Amino acid sequence: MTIGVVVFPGSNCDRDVQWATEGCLNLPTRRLWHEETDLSGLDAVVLPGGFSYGDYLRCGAIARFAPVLQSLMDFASKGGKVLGICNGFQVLTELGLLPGALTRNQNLHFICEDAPLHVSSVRTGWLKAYGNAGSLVLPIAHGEGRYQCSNDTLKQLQDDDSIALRYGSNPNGSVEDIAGITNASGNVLGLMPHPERACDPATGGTDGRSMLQALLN
Amino acid sequence: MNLTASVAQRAVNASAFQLEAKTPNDLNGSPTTSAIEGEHGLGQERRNRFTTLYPSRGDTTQPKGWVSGRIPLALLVIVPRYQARVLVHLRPSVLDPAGEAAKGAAIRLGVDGISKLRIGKAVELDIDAPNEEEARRRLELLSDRLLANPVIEDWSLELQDS
Repeated sequence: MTIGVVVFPGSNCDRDVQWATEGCLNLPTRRLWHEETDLSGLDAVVLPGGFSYGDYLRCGAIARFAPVLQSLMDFASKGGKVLGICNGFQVLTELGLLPGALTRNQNLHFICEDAPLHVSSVRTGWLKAYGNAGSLVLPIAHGEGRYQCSNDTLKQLQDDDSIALRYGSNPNGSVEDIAGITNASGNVLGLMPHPERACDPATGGTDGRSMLQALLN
Repeated sequence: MNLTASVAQRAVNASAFQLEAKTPNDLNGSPTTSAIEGEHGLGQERRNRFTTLYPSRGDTTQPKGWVSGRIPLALLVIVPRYQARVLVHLRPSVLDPAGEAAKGAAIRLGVDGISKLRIGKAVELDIDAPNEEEARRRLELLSDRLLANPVIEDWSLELQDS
């Protein structure tokens, strides 16, 4: 049982994720350079936060064409678990593994703060440990985290019970206070908050631990 | 220079064009006259490679039939170059906070009458393609798949012969 953490040029939370999964949770983890295509032996893949390829053009737009992500499409279609955090969430929407898009925060600010969140669905295993309507606090740090989608897509998300996490106090103008969503089959989760920054009481609480633990559950 | 009829027709179709050597030798990195002279602006390493491959008697690295290092004229293909500008803008239903902020600044500057200000981006490209239709096809693919995200953005394409 091993977790892979993708490293794009410009990723800056890759080590944080490994520190959290391996150091805090004792889960075997290895980093995957963006040019790798072999995902064999991995049970879950994390797309970390940062600024992949400088976020040129649009956040995640260029990362989408990375060799490792072509393999990730196969991995995800076979049911492999994929977690996209912050920039990783943006990459997943560009890739089409999750619907919608993440746009500039409504107030134009880069927001870096602790965000109160509510679990909106426990349909998938990712958030079961928090309980239905459970609340948690995770750090957010993004300039483009405002979730946007068409009305049809929003309805589809609601019908599929795919809205996983909502902000308690919407910081960026996301539609329906959305902070994180899953795909219909539930093996892919994307969220703007950073669970890996909340895995040790000394640095921002421990509310993120169960979410990362779910990678190998 | 002798041009075949179809090549000449292409030249007429495009107001400007460039020459491309399409011989297998050229694509494989063997010398062309201009490459030897360094006119392609190649890096030193690549230029050296050309220099060392300069055909000489008994050079077995050259394919059979290679004589002078010049491209046979009959194999020259002329490909028109098109200039394109792709305009990417947020869809009308998507809020443009940067546009709103710029609009606020415009009003503070004292410019009256602005009722709408939305910010997009322009991507300028030169593309070589056999004809305008093909250039357009490639640019539409590019715009739809890379330059714009159809979930939140629209795009439009301006194309002209260079």
